[in-house]
Amino acid sequence: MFLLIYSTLFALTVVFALGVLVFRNTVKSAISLVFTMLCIAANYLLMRQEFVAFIQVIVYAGAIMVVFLFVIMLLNLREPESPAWYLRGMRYWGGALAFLFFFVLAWGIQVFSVADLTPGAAALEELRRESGQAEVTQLATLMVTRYIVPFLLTSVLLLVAVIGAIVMARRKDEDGRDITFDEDEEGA
Amino acid sequence: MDSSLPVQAYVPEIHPTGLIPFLLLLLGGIACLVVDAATGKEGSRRYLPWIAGGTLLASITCFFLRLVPGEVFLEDTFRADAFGQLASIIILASTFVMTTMGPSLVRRRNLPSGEFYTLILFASLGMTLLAISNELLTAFISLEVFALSLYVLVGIDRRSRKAAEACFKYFVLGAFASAFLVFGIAFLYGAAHTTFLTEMAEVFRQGYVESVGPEGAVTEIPVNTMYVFVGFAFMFVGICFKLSLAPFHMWAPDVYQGGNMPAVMVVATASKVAAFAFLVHLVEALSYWQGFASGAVYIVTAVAVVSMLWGNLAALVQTNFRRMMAFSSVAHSGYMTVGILVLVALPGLMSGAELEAGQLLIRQAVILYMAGYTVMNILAFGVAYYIGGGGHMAAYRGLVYRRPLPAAGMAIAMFSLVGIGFTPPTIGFMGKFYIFKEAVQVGFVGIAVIALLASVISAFYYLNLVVTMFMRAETKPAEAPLAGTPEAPVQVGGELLARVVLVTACVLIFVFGIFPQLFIGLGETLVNGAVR
Amino acid sequence: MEPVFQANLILSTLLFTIGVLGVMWKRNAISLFMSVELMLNAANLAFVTFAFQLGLLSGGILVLFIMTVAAAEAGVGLAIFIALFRVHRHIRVDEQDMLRG
Repeated sequence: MFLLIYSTLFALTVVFALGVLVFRNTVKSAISLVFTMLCIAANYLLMRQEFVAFIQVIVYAGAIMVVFLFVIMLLNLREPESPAWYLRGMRYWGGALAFLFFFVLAWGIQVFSVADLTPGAAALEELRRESGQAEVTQLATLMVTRYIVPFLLTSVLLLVAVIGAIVMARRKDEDGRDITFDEDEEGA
Repeated sequence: MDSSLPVQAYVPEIHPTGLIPFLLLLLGGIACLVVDAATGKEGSRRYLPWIAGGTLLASITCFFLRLVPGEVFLEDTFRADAFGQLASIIILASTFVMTTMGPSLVRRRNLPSGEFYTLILFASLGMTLLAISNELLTAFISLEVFALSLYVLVGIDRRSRKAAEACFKYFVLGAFASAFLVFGIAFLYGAAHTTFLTEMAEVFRQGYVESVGPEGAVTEIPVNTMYVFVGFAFMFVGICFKLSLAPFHMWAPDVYQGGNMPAVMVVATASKVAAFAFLVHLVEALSYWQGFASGAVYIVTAVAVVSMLWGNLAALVQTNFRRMMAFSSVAHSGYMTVGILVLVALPGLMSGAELEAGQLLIRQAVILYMAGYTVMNILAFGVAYYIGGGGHMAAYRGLVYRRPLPAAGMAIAMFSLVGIGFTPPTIGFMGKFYIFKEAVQVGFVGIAVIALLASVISAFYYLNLVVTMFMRAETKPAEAPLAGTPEAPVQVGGELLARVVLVTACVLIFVFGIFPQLFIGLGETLVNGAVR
Repeated sequence: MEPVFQANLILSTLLFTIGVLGVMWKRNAISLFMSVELMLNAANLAFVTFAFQLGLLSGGILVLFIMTVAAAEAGVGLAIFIALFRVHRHIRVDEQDMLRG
């Protein structure tokens, strides 16, 4: 039963991810990405990482993707044919190369598997039972002890992101006039 | 490792004084925002350069006051050895030069000065933290902090279409690279069960991870070879993008050409120094894994050789100064990667105290090269910025006759960038000399020969620019761009500080070129005398 | 039932490959950036799988931070796309060719 659920989830994740790749329509592509993220969240639940799963749904599938959809709607975008500027003409053998690479990697991961050696979920369960704490509590404790520096740096990152977004998206310049583009300029 | 255990009595090595230079940068950035909001447009344009420049200088001073401990601190999150501290100082110096260029840029292109200086300070914060970080997650977030700041700084000139395009390309490929970086971190985490580089080195040295199972049973899990290689390969690709190593350099020419010159200068110098410092720390930790050299040598060699050859050959055919400098920086990253190559191979050749001495030597060679690369590029980009002309070669025609001093500076930078044969007393020569010497001693003679050949190729385009500067101008002065247009040259005379900075760069090229031990010794002094 | 989750690493690699292909094939900047998000998700999946298999707690932390980074990146990135859209009225990546040597 568990195997059935897991393999269905696996297949669904791959199908939705391929959807992101093949859909011409940007909105369909984005919705497909949302479903991929939901499938990944379900996968986290199977691994009993409940908190991470909820955050995945709320932050990723919820917040970030809404911003994506918002911008798509705002700019009214469509996907044209043919590949990107830096890989023109490399479409097919690039794809073949990527999948070859994937199979080599997947083979390697299977061959060098350590699953039978690892303590796995049992150890994690044991750990949780012993400490008598919820997953969130443990994550939070870790976050403000060993990982305090990344935690603090994240605040700087978000500040930079806010400043950057304001600088790049604003319509008016320093004097409150609309930004106009230089004709045939060389910049600075 | 112990991150799997519930919180235990853990006595952290915090060394709070070590944080002061970084807190200064953070506070300086916030101060810039506050002052900008309080004083309005003209006021902020007047005061912010002083606040930002002063903060950067104060931060450098903290390193010289030996406030930063020369070891791991803050719960192993940072590792400020001599190498990391010197890298931080180079980064801060480079961003300081950007603040000296700031006022003229802000005024000329009507930029938002508050955001401009704040982002410079946050970028320098991210870069210095990356250069000394000892933990992969911290490194990744620091990298994102400076990358996001630099994307925006490159595209901050909203009136320029080319800047928008440069910013866009930089962002797209930067985000792509950071995805590679994260994927690599995930696999290294799977291999070593930790994200701390010092712990990782320990795990790789002993070859297994002790894992506490149910009922406290300890099992020894051998390190998974596959995960180490996948992790390293992906992280290396991600860092290659940041270092613009071929074949991951496609953003560099466009960004160098389209971005504003001060931001490009920092992208070319400081951001590469930071990424390189991190790469050195990463490779050092991984190289303890016994099978590492056998696989990684090929990847690193390929990247180094392709970068040196392709960078120099492509630079030969460029007609734009900025694009030429972009390919030249690809080649210079290639030379520095030869140093990484030695670092990868070293643990297979020696061990114990000998190994540590060898690693120290190669770290010193790399940091000397990075210092030289930074100084030369600051000089070249600085002069190009004050000459103006958008990087067209026409702007350099007959420069010697029109403006002899900037032309002399540019010529010095070019001779030093060649760094081979007839330019011994420059830092460009010394940096290459040290790195190639290490490479030959470890047995990479072929690589060293290729590097020398590549340097010979580079002489053509660098000296071509010098020759161009001596050619008589074909255009009459009347056809030169009028004052007030974007192409108009900036008057160096109006900015004493900028002039001082560029002259200092000229002097440093020779001082460190003649006395390289002065710079290397500085690092040792900083670390050995550090406040514990 | 743990060995099953070894397949998660394969899934993660597959998602990453699809993401790389997306970056190579897509011409629209937003679709391209969505492929990058897919790659980040693949990395997150690998993190959680490792954390689960190896009985570590820190994997969850790493994922949380990477999500934050992804959000920050998305914020700046979409602003940059809007800035580019104002220039060209489109954000097709292969038609950005003002800069050439």
